[in-house]
Amino acid sequence: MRNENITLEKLEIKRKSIIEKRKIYNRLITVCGGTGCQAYNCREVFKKFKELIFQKDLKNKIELKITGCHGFCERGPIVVVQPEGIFYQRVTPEDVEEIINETIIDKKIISRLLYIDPITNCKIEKEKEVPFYKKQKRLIFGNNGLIDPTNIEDYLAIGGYKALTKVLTEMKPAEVIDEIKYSGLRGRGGAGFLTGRKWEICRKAPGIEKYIICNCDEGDPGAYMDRSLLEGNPHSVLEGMIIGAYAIGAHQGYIYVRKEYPLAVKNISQAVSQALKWNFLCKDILGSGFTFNIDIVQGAGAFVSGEETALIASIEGRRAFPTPRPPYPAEKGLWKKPTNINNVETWANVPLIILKGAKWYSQIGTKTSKGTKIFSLVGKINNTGLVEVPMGTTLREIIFEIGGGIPNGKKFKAVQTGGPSGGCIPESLLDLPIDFESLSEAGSMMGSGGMIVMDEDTCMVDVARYFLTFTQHESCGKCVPCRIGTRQMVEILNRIIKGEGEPEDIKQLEELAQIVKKGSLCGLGQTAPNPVLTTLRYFQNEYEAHIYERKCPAKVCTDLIVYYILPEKCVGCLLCLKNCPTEAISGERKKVHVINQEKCIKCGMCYEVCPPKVKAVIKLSGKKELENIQKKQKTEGDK
Amino acid sequence: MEKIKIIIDGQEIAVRKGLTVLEAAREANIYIPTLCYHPSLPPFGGCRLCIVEIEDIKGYPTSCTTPIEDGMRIRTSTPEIQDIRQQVLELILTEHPNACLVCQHKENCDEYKSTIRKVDQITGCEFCPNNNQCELQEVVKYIGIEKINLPSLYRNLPIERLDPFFERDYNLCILCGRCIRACQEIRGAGTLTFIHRGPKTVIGTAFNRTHIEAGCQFCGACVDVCPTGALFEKGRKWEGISEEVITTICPYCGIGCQLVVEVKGNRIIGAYPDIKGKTNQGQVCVRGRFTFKNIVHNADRIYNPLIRKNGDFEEVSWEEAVNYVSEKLKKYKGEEIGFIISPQLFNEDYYVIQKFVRLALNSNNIDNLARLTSAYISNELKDFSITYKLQEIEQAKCILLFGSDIGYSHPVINVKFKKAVDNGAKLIFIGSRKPEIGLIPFKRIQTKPGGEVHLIVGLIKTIAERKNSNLENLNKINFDKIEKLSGISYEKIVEIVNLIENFSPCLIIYDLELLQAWNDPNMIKLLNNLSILSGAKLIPLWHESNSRGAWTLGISPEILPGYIKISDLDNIKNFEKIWKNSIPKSPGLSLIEILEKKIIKALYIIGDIPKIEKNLEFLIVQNPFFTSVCKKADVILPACTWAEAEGTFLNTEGRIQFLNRIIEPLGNSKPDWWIISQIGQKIKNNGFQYSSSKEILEEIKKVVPGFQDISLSQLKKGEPFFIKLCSNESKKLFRIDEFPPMEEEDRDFPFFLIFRNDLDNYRGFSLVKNDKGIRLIRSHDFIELNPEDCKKLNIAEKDKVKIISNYGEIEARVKFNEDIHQRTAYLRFSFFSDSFSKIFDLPLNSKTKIPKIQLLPVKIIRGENV
Repeated sequence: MRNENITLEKLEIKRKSIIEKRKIYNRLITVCGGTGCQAYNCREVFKKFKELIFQKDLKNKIELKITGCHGFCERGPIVVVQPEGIFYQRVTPEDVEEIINETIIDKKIISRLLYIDPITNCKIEKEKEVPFYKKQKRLIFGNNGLIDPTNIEDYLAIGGYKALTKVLTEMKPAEVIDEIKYSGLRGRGGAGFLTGRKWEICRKAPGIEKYIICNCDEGDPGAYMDRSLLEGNPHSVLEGMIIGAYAIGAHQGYIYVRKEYPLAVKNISQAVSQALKWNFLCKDILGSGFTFNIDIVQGAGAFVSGEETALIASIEGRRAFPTPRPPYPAEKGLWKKPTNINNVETWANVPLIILKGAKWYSQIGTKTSKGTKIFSLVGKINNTGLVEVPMGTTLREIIFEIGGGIPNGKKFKAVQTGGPSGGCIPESLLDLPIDFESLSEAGSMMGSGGMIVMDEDTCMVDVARYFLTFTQHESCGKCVPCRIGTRQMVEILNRIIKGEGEPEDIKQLEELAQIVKKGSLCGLGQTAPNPVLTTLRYFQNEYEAHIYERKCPAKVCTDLIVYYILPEKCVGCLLCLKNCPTEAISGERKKVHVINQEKCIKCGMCYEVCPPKVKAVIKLSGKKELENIQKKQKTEGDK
Repeated sequence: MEKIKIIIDGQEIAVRKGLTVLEAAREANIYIPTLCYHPSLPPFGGCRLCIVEIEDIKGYPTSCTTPIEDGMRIRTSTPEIQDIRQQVLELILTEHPNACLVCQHKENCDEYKSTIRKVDQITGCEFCPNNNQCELQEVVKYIGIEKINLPSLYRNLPIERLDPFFERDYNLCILCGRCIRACQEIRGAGTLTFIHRGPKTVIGTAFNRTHIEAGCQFCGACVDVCPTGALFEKGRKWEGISEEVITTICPYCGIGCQLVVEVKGNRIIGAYPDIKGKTNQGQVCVRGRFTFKNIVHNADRIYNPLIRKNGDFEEVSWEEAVNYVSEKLKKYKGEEIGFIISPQLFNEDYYVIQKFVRLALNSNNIDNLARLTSAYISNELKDFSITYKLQEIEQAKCILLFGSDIGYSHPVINVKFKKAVDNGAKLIFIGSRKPEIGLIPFKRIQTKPGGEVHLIVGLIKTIAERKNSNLENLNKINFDKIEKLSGISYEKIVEIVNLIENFSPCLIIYDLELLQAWNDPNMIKLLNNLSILSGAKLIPLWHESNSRGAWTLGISPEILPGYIKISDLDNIKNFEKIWKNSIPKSPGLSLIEILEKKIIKALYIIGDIPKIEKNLEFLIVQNPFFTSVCKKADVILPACTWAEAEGTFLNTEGRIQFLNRIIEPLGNSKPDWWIISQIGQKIKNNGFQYSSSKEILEEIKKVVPGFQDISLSQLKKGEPFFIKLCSNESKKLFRIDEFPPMEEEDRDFPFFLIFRNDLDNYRGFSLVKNDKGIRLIRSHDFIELNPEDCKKLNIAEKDKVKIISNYGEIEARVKFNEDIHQRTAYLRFSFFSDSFSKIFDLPLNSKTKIPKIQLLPVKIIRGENV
């Protein structure tokens, strides 16, 4: 298996020959193969390309590859034709022949496959000109679109493992640590601890046996940048880890990846075996004398496993329970040996810093947070996808310029950052430049970089309840505040959205939140109350509306809202009546229908089926609103 | 030990490095409330009550997990901390029934029971079996909670009652995880775990099986550490708080675990392991933890002497019984009387019994039931003098373990293995059957049945060759033959030898069962040679609680107390001088001979034996329980149990341990020494005027070498005393000319039957038969067979089979075991079971005086299945 002969010198010769070999191609077609695009059937598109290239005997002229995620998942499957960078979106297998004939052979652009900027309504030809990409700075993520993650030669062709050769030939471990320290790189897993400092502590910890771990237990709902990196550019993570191991003095590494990420598991496993073959792993790496090996461990699906001490427990074969610090993993981690854990994205930053230098890197970002950060932009947003921006970019830029704003002309309400234990940031803070400090000042956090956009139709009490229910279920159960405290909080929130809230509930929630924050053992519990605390801070009026007025202003909480048929609009078409599952609607053809509120279960069926032209069924925020309408009608009727 | 300074609540103290903040605070007499912390368990940090503030550490670290550092400034009770503690405790009480803790009628209730039942389902004040024995109650009292502002979130979990010994009400559980840590980290068992997560988290077994199904050994370690009433001993329920607690030693196996017995009135209400126990450090097994009460207060106890008159038993006074027995015994010659003694009596009893037999009856026909397992001890080797400390196991770096049953017969030893392995020891298990040692990792060397012996020869040869030791007769053996006999290749043997040589200190631990395999004292010589050559220490494991004492105090037809041979005329004079009498000089009959030889006309059994085939003129049974052999007795003398008398045991380590009297003798039962002394006084004028066991111990000290230095007062304080039986002679290698033969395959009897010893009895009173719980988990009624064999024989699991030897047949149900070799069968053997007399070849080995009871050739056929 292993190619013993590859040394530092031979690697460069090999690299040259790989690049030479590829010069015969004049075109490169990339099909996005990220999990998002796979769901859109990109495999079939790729297959079709392959078939046609073979049929038309273009094999020696056109290079075709299935790449990792390009980030713009909203518009998948994505096909990019290089070197022009022609960007086709929502490509189906039926379009493939046309692309080959028109674009490849005749060099014409197929207008209907182009992306239309929703703001200017202009068609955009090139990938970099798409507003979604234009504002981004894709240092870490950009190569995803260029390489086939299953082919190590692709990574080598774009200069992969050059940072490793640099480290092995020119740098002492301490120098590597210094470089990372000076770059100002902070852990991308959430807490934002200085990576170089972390490495240094682990290097200095007594003991010969040390471990490094790559944390890819990305459990936040809606966040998937780590997955996309492992899927799309696994070697960049490996390279970062090998450099880290060299700096720390570890000879064994683990990549802990969720079992729910099958493609990531597959690609990283393949990358590890390729790296072994190419002498980037195992004994005497590239003839340098340094030894390092990597094993892949698959997680069993607990959110808390992403917490580093819990992750260590999980690798050791125990239940993923976090353990209190100190002792820190850097002193006593895996198998009680000094251990350094970094997140996937952090590792992927390492080769870049080594190659381009700490000085260059530290110029990107803000005073305290350097470099770029990948966010996964999801929720009520036009351009769902992964975006990479320099630290310090404002939320407004991300949501409205890159993300293309809120769909269907709705109003922005809040954005929740940092996964389920992040906070909800209101519109008034949209111009906040994002970095670790600013987010935590706003009551939220960087977390792993999830970003969930919410529009006016979102009830903030319901959102808080939703996220807290998630963290409550995922609490490992070890410590009391997190296990019982969150349970008590969820109980209160459930009462509030049912319209059974009491005035003291807000105070009670705040008190409980403080206990859970202060008393919990690990980050999960310490941050779990954030959604509640921030919604209480920025949207207290919504809580009050639920409690005092028994209404849900966003018209979401089913126990509060009321459906009502406007008599003046109803045409008596019987549609709602026929569709009502509880026979709560009475009426006759061409006569006004009436909802019996006693029988109504608020399924919203009548609201859905009422013809758009009629729009007689409306949602009201609560019973009071209904009473008001009825009163008004009565007085009008009296008149 | 290095000391460092810390400042705790403004007080500067110097403490040992390596302590946690909590331990340091306790040393400084500063109380920090805890619930999940337990001194014998690794810290957890889950209950969050022990939080403190430490300068330079953000947040509120838990003191139980934070190691102290030089100059650390700690505050243990700021208002902020008190506030968090109070609220955290309040959260716990929203799930835990709390009426017993915060009820406003609490004070009155204790006195008047004014609020016996309340409407609220979570009331539970009178439902908790642990009321007033609850750590949660104590902590609530300290932190001070008067009212709970949050709604109760009672979990309403069903109470689990299916398993024996203890039941589980997880509604009372606060998820401190102590039980799990005890199960996993201390016992290495892994029965218990957390299941589910979030608010649904509960404690249970994998896949929610019952504890029995999950392989629980019911050691009770989880019950011992539970701070609430969640885990509760069934037999202890509603007994309330004990009036008195008394330490004792467990009377079952040779380890001699120290226990604390709870007493109320003249009744034992419970027992738990003593954390100060020298041999067990707060651990015990199911027998010690849960059976005392049932055994001591068993319905089968005999309370008055019984004499058979006109075919029926009649209760008589002690005076009448003693007169009757002594008159009867006087009529027989010494050689016509036999004595069979249980290996679970006190040393003092043994001394008086053997003195009585030799002096008053002029006989040497006395033997103990441990002959079957420990007849291999030899005077030549002086291996009876080996002493050690079980704690040495924890420090060992390499352990060679022979005996697949150790985890079953001496379960507490698993705790030591677990510690050793956690400290980095290599545990090598050698045997034919998989040992029951829970989840403790070990290297397994699976020999052919009986092949352990040959493997030992292979090890000796390999080491001897490396060291150029001159053991010329080893040349006769080659490794091919060893592989053929033991099933272990040369490479494997080299691997073991490498481990022995590279990891020291190394121990060789062997169950006396290993010795049965060859049925020859040479076996011990082989072990001795292996030990000397490898530098590994030999650690024999004695079976019954005082079998070592029985041998040492002369319960043997050929040995006098202190291992003085009956043929050793010089030393005998010494005894005769002190006893002022002559002793019969020819060796008496051994166990099986006493049972078989026609010359024996009168038999005196102290303890129990299986049924007697031969006709006796006179049978005396002295035991606390009415067992089947009593039905044939002419006189039954009610001895009391260990709990009702005091005395000493000699455990497997060679440690002399003192047992306190726990309760007064029940009924008219009496200590064994008292009964024998009374009869002795009638037959012989002098030498039996004992008034206490203390007096007997004084005489033992004078007579028996090895006991001189004992001080009873220091023994009672728990000072360790080890028997010293001979001077430390330089060890020598033994020349062994005879090597273990290969077991011949027998066409008619193609299976080798291997017996697994049964230690589940007290003086022959079977726990399996008499304790429902033990019966459920340690039933003997099955034979283990390889499923491949069964396929050939058309036998399904749980089918009845007939096991036929040359000498008889027995029946048992089949249990599959894929792990064992084909054509072997494993059966748990009890001397007290019928199987013993049914299928053994009775010719005895000339040296050990026991029949061949291991590797018995048998055939197995399908029985009649209903």
